[in-house]
Amino acid sequence: MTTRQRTVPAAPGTSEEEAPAAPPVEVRGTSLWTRIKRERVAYTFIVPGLAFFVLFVYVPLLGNVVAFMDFSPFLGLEDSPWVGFDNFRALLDDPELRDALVNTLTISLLLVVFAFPAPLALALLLNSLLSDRVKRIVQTVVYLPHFLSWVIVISLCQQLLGGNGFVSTLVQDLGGEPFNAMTDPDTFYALVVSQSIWKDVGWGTIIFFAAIAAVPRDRYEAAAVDGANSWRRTWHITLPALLPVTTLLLILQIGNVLTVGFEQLLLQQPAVGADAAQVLDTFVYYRGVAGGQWGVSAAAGLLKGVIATVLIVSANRVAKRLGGSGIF
Amino acid sequence: MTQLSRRTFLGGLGTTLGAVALAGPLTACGGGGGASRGTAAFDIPTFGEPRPPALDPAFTASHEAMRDVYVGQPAEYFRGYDGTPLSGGEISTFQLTWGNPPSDVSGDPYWQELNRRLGGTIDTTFVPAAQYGDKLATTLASGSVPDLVFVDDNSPVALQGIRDGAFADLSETLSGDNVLEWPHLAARREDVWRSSLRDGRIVTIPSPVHPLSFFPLLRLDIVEQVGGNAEPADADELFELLAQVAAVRDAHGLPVHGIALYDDPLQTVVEAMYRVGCDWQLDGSGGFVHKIETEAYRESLAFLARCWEAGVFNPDALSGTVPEGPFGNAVFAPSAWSNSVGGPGIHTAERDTEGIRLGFLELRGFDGGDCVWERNLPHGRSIAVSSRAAEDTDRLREILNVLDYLSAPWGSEERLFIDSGIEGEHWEMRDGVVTPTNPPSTQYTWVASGDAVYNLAALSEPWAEGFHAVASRQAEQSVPKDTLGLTSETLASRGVQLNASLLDQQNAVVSGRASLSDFDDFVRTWLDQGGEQIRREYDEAREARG
Repeated sequence: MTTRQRTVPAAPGTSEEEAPAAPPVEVRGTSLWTRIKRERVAYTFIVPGLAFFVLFVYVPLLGNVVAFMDFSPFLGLEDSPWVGFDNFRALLDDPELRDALVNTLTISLLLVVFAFPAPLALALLLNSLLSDRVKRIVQTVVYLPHFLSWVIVISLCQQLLGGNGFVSTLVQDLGGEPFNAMTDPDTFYALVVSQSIWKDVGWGTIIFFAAIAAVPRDRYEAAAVDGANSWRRTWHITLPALLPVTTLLLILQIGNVLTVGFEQLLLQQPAVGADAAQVLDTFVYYRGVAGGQWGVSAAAGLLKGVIATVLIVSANRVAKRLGGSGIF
Repeated sequence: MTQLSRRTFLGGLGTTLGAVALAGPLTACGGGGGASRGTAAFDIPTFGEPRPPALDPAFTASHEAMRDVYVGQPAEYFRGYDGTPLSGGEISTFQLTWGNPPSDVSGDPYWQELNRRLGGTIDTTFVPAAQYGDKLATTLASGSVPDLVFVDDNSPVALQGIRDGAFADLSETLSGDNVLEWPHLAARREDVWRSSLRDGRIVTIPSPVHPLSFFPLLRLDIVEQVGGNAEPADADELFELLAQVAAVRDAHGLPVHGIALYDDPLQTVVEAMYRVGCDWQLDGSGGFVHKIETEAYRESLAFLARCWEAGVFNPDALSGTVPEGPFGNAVFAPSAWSNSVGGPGIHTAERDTEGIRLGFLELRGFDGGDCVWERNLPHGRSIAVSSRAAEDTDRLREILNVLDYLSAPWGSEERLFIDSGIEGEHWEMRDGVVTPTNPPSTQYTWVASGDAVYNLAALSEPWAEGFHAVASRQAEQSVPKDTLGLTSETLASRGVQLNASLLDQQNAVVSGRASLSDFDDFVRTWLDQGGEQIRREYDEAREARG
């Protein structure tokens, strides 16, 4: 329960200095139930979202008991035998787990380093455009790949960068050696990160645009009057304004560090090989859905969830220690 | 993804997965609605000779692994079923589809006619191959198992369902002469039933399968274009031909490849050329070894790697996407007979692309000697009956009536409808040949009976003789699986995982990502991961059998 005082935010379009002084709402010592009763209309809006999470997220979490069973779909949870930690032992003894973990962490790290800041950079770039018309056109174009399925994206890559693809054919026509970027494990990580950036960089800018739009324009005007150039205004006004949302996204990204594009990797694995393309999610798929080892698969998922929770909590603490507000 | 089903190992997987599916704890018997597994003695169902089609075979089989070859269609179709199998009501089915599912029953004349002929309503859940495992798992978990379920012998989920009692034990119902109540179900030979037993019991209705399925095709026009030898005498000559072709970049406006895909048929054919033999095979000391432990297998991989290195393969051969053009526009195209001469495939290819010529290649062994072809299991495409539905004997009888109808043999009026649809709506008779005009989606519940003959399309007549010669030769050089009738529990539980890692390693060696010495390391790991255990179980099972 928070003990901080809450103030009514300033009205839109007015600076905090100009806002009428609103009486602070005292929450110290007020019970949750009292607040719910007092602000029941506002709390009512929580109900659909809460119901969704309870029904489709928290209740299914109970299914993690499968990790401790020799689960059979037909026998269900009632009749499948319990096996203690056997599934975890089998999981840790599996030699493919190591490769899957290494690939997952490597791809995640590369995504954090290259794909995570890409929307921020693009948002800043687009924000610097003076023409709103051009900005909107560019925004629309860069959003589009997000709506393509991974099957289409991989097919496009195949047509472009595969052994019979456009680039290889062109290179051969010009007298060069053929190449196949879709089957080369040495460049596969770069390919995966590039695909992710191409597909989602535009979509990722939306939240940054929202944050940039929330920055009062008079701050830019004041900075300009004080002689700040464009770079200074970005550095001292825009980036600090984006810091909270960037921190939040980074914490969430760290929580997902063990989850990298399942479909993206699954579709490319046959061509490039499991050594490069086996990640935890494909490992779980092959053991569970394809291999019928539901218990081992659930153990991997449970372990992944526990690690993700630890990472989110740790990242949140670090963010707070560095002066940020964290996400909880 | 497609490689997951590569037959080279899964063929063996299917042999024993089904058999061992019931070897696990039977704690589920009666649980979750499952019927108790019967223990009473039973006889293998009596074979009832199906009525032959009104068509003489063009070529009669002279080897146990060969089947008669028919060309075209029967002159007339006999009526094989009187009345309707259902007396109203509904029958639900769970069916894997290989093509596009049909539209809703209201817009599908075939479905409406099927309902009329069955005397009830068939409610089918169509499941694409890629979703078979997860869809079946959720169906089993729901506890609401359809009356008829397509059982993929390679799916661990299906085998778990069998083990746990989701499907009825039909052993006593179909025992001996009991099966004669359903003449089309009886039209299965003993080896088909025996091959499909699950822990010694009849849990599925099997369909007979051809002993051999894959036959290599050669693009004769391109061979001629490069001045190559259309009858390579050994592996070196085949390589030389394919390497010559690698220099040709396109034909008929499309890229040409020596080999289009690295898939099941190709692996099967190259293994045959190097006389690799069965997946699990008996060595000189009487114990089992897996083919990947053999020098012959190693050499087959080396041949493929050499082809890759020489640019013989389509560069995207591992992607699973067939290149544009007839048979992937490849010169060497090992294909399932059903895709070449079983339908209009080979005829259409020549008709639609002017100047191309295709012919069957009689493959020689790597050293000019014979090949060794591993035969398929005698059964495939099995259908199981829900144990819950089977608790009511009258209901079980109706369900078996439906399977009996759907098992109508080739040459019957029922089979003509099941395979081709309605005359005037889906096909027309032209010059005595059933000619599809608007082919329906027919995959409601696929089950067949009688001997699995090679019934070639009338349009394939020009290739029939060549096909018969090649198929007969392959039959003479074929061997049955050494593990037939033996069981391995580890293969059932870890087979898919082991197979996936093997396919990945094969891809790596062939495409040059890994060396043959890497493969040797892989073999040791593979054995440690379960291969050794499977070997022990096979050895023990063989000793126990005596």
